[in-house]
Amino acid sequence: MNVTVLHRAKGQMQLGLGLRRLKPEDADTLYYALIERSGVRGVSVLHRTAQLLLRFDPCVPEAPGEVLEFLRGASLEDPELKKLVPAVSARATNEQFKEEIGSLIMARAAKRLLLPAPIRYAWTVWNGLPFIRAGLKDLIQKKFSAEIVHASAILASLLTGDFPTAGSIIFLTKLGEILEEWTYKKSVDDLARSLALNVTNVWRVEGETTELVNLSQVKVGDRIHVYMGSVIPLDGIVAEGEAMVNQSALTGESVPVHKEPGITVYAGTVIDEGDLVIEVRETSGQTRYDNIVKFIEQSESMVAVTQSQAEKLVSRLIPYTFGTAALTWLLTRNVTKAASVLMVDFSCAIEVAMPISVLSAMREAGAHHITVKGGKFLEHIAAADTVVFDKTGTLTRSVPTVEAVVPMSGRDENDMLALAADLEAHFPHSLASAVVQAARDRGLDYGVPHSKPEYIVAHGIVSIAAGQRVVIGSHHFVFDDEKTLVKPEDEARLHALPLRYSQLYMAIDGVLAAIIGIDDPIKPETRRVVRRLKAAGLTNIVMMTGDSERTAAAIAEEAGIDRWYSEVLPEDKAHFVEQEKASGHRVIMIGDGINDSPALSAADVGIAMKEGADIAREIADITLSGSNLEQLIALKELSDKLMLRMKSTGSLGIAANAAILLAGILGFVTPGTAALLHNTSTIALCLRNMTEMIPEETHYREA
Amino acid sequence: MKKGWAFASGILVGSVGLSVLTSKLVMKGYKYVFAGAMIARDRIMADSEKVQAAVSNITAEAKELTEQYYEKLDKEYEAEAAKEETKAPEA
Repeated sequence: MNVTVLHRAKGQMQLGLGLRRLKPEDADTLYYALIERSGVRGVSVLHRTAQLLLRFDPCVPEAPGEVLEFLRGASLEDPELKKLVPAVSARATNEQFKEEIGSLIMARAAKRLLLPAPIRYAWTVWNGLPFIRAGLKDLIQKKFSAEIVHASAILASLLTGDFPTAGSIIFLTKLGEILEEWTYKKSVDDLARSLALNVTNVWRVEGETTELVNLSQVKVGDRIHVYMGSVIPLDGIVAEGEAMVNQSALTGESVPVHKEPGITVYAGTVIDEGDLVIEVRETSGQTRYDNIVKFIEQSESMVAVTQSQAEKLVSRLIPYTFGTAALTWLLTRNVTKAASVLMVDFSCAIEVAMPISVLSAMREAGAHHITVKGGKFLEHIAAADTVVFDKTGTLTRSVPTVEAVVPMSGRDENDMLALAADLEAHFPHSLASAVVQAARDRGLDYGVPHSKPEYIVAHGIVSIAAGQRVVIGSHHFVFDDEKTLVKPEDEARLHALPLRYSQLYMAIDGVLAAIIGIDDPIKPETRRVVRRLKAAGLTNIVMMTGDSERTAAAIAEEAGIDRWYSEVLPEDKAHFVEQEKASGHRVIMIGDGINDSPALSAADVGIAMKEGADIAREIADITLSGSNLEQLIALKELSDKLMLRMKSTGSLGIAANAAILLAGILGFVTPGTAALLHNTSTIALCLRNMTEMIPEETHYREA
Repeated sequence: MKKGWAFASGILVGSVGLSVLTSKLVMKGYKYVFAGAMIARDRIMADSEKVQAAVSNITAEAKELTEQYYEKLDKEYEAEAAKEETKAPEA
């Protein structure tokens, strides 16, 4: 592209693209091609003038140069770039609302400048009718709503012949509605986009074998194999197998549904137990996204408890507003004064400004790579005093690595690793990924066909490969449950690995074949995060792990955690969470594996790491991108600040409106001014609630 | 008499006016009027983009200037502090 630098200052750059204007789809392509680049903080595509406004992170001085070079070499027709644009573009939505607001304001200005008074008045009456109709409808249904107050205010102004006032009430109400819809739609879209997680690879069944292919290569009629704990990526019909499927992402119903051949399964649902071969009926795209949006909108968890309490209070206030207006009229016999009372509507601040604060907090969490599935979870976090951490993948690095493979006598090291990877490849867990990664790094071919592997939660995997029974898992599982034998000459090798390694044992036909040593060091920020969480009021911090007491004690000490439980089973974790809740604690559970799911759903707030198992992510109320625990601090700070903001929204809203009300009764302000003051105060509250709560400078950096 | 005129012109606007506004010839003109309004709107929006760019540029430069100002102050302060330190041992 022909790019010229129009202006440049520290941390920002204005670019001309050498075109007269940009098409909307090209604007989208540019936006999404640039926004995720490192060092880029903000992108505004000025499509009418074909310019770009870029904001950069001052700590990455090379970013502007890189972006320039990238743009000069890029083409808007590049299909790779077009792929980056999501199904529903947030940029396009923003543009649409900006244009709506612009049109509204310009239409009003043009009307006031150009149209003669009588036509303007007729126009006002015409525009006021829908509001009056809506108010009447609510009145007939005996629903005390803000609509009734709006309608009576407009009606009163029209009947007293105060057309300009009626006009400005209508204008401000419309503006408020657009702003409200915008924030709402934006937040829901942002949320949906982060929930529409990309399952990029699927196991396609071809005759006797399965192979890993990209989701985009799957066609209608293909058969795909989906294993326990994984998300079903596409709509389809069960061809083989039986499973319990968790459909909560679509229906909100958390009880798993039994699926057998011939029954339809839906994209975005998760296999709780068992595994399925699915014949694909619909390839990915819009439908799934729409489903997620629908789910979010229906979800009651969108509404925070504080907000619904405030709403109840406010709907009780509406009859009093009318009472005050009637009283004012009786005492003063002045319609204008009575009408100014009606202009003041206490519900506005709470019904509009509060949801905006919640949605905006959820959006801000998104900017920190945190996905929050509902406002009430932020509320719970602010109120919580207990945090339960799973160890592996949460407190420790999310990428554990295989440090050593100890083959038993007569076995080849690489063969053993390949076999282990072959089994583990089907089950997402941080230790499993380590094994698969190690096999990949060594260039091993782990695509050996084997019968269907079976995952035994928190224990291990069993499968039949080349006619032999292979088990892989913890010490307890391989030796105590599976009664594996160790050849006498291998005894010495059992203790070959350093103690700090987590150990996976693999046995073939009941005889120990290999030990895989996986090192899982603590994340560098863990200690600091634990300390800061304690300082922020989460005093009761607990670690639970399936690992041995020795490893657990070492990690807990390093992290600064004084309560830990080792060698726990998944149900123990959930049981512990229930116990803490029963003793009056508000509990946050943080984990990443299939085995954490019961505890995640038992807790007041379940937080999952994004790299973890699909099911943990689905069940969790909040997901962290997982690379850095600092996100927890950001999340806690956001939640606390949101609570303060909601409280102040309530009190400020009521205070401001009470003042306007008083001024109206005393006759200091006309109904028009009252409406203006009221709407200005509401919009000001909304705008304040849309601002970021954590200043950009203190953004917690990704490690 | 004045009232009579007003009444008559009212009748005239009410009957003839509406038929003029809905006549075929005038109907043809409306699309140009609306297109004009839309183009005007787009022009204003494009101008607002220019304003947005200018505001952003000015803010960025102002930020830079502010930073430079404080950096200068810091340097002066440091130099002053260094002087004090070299003086101290003599005393």
